[in-house]
Amino acid sequence: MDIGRCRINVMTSVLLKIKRQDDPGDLPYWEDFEIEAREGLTVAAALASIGENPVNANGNPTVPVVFESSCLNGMCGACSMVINGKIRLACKTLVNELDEPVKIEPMGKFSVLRDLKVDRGKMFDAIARFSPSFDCAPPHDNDPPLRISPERQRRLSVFSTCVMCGACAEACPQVNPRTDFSGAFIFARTVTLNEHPISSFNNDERLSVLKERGGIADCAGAKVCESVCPMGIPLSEGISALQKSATAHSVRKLTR
Amino acid sequence: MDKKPKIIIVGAGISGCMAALAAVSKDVNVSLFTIMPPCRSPSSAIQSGFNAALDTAGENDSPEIHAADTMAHGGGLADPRAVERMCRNAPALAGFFDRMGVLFDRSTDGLMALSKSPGSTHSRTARAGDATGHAILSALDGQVRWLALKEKIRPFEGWEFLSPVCGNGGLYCGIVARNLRNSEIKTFASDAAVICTGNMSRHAHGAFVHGALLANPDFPAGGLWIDGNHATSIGGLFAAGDAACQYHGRTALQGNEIPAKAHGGRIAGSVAAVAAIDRHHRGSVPQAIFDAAKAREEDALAKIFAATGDENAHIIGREFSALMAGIPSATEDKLVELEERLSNARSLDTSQWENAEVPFMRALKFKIALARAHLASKDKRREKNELRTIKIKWTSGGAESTS
Repeated sequence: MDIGRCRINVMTSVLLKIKRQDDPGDLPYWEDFEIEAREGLTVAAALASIGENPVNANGNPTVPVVFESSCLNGMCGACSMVINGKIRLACKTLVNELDEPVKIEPMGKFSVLRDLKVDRGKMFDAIARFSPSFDCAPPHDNDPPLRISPERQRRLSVFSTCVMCGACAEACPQVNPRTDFSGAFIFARTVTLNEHPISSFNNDERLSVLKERGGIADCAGAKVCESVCPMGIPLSEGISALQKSATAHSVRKLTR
Repeated sequence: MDKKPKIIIVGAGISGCMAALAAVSKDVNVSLFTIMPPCRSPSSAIQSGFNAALDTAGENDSPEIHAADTMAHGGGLADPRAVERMCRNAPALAGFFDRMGVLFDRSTDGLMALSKSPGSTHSRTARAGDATGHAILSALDGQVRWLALKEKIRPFEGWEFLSPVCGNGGLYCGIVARNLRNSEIKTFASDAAVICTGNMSRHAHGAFVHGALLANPDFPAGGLWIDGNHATSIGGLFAAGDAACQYHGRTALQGNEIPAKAHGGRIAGSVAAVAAIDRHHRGSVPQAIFDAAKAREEDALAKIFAATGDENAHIIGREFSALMAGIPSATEDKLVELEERLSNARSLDTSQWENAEVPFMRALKFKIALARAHLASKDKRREKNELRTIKIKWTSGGAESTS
């Protein structure tokens, strides 16, 4: 018998405290669950496992927790939630690395639809305003190829990894009922649009909108966005670059 | 009746978004149904690159060689003409995404860098880091929203496709869908539709039950059977992307996954739009047919809410996954048993609001039905002992092959 190759799968019991809400008009309430946490169990998988044993920590039958998920692999931005006070992607958060009891809440900057699922529609509204897409001719043969320097592509590509998870908005002190600010995600997209060979044709217009209420002037430089972005986008660097562009744009307009 | 011909696209992953864009350029009304924001669709997780015989590496690659590699990898099972067409169009599609703002990795002279993927004889894989699927889907999400702003696409986000509505002669005339927020069930009429609901077609089960044949459901690349123009066996209903079986044969050549979705979606959207223009003048279908379809789905939903059994759908789901992984091996009897147990499972959630249990149970029911089709296909393949496309049709007793 080869003891060295025998894996002992240690299961520990973990207490989850989940903030629930049945619908937008109801009050939130807390419900506790005991979960068997094996090595490698993510918060998303832990939440999904409630379905097999829908009983809370008091031994009472209950309804499985509603939460958004799609790829379960950190690439779609669906499963954002606040775990032990920090905004995280549930599919990328390991239960065994969290202090107990594990507190799980929906994002506070968006309105709750049910349990941990919130309405992030206003993020897409903000993109429509500040960094919408552009007219693109259909595919055709003999399309002259674009040339983009490798250095430029390397610099820009990280900004295009934004998955619209909303973490930056959740963490930003400027995203609150007193401002029109939506969050740094609008800037991630603007950075790439402003430097791509074709979308950059519209920079003038894009920069004008960026200087309106809710845009670049509303950023107070807290830099919390960058520290919570699950894709590691260097948002403060992008914002600085946009502030310079916006200033140059103003100067051009003045001296015209 | 709408003044303009109308098409419905179901699913807003890479193939669905491409279908929508193609249909818009044909000047028909386009409604795009999706369960979730397009950018969160499963296409976002694809990490393989985008194969296109651009030959920027100067290796004398060509669409013909790309097609030959594709056919060889697929075991010769795919339709050669469809594959040739995809490989011919892939370079133009790569250029299209480049113009759209997808940030592909670059060579030293600024063109798209191409690497050699396993199974390909030449370097032809363009990549956006290891997030090519996300990069392309994100750009397409932007295009779809841009067109929605300009009112060229009508988005229905948060709606789940349940089944097609088929009128006289079994021809497509609309869909039944459920609003995931408030459980409202509604019918939507259109002149043609494209199913782009992704792998394993569980969301396309509604089409299967209404007469759409499956092709090779026992292969990973199996799905709804389609002809060279992406038409399913239901007149007026088309399919593209992983929901359909077309370009990969047994299994996809690495790097062909996204081109197949993008090209297939574009062809399906164009052809469906032309079909919609043609079918638009055939006169309207009686409202009674739509009402009957809606009532059928409402009854099915009511049945789930009324079930009082002790079975837990999630546990059945886990057993089903284990069964399909071969532990123990799947048989028709075991699947039928799971199906029966599932019909005795009550929904753990009876709220009409943001109910996640109902879609879960529906999806599981269809996964089991598709697994039965998988087994029927596997049996037929063993019987025939040659590599050919097996077509499966739904019957009330399960699934049978048509050949």
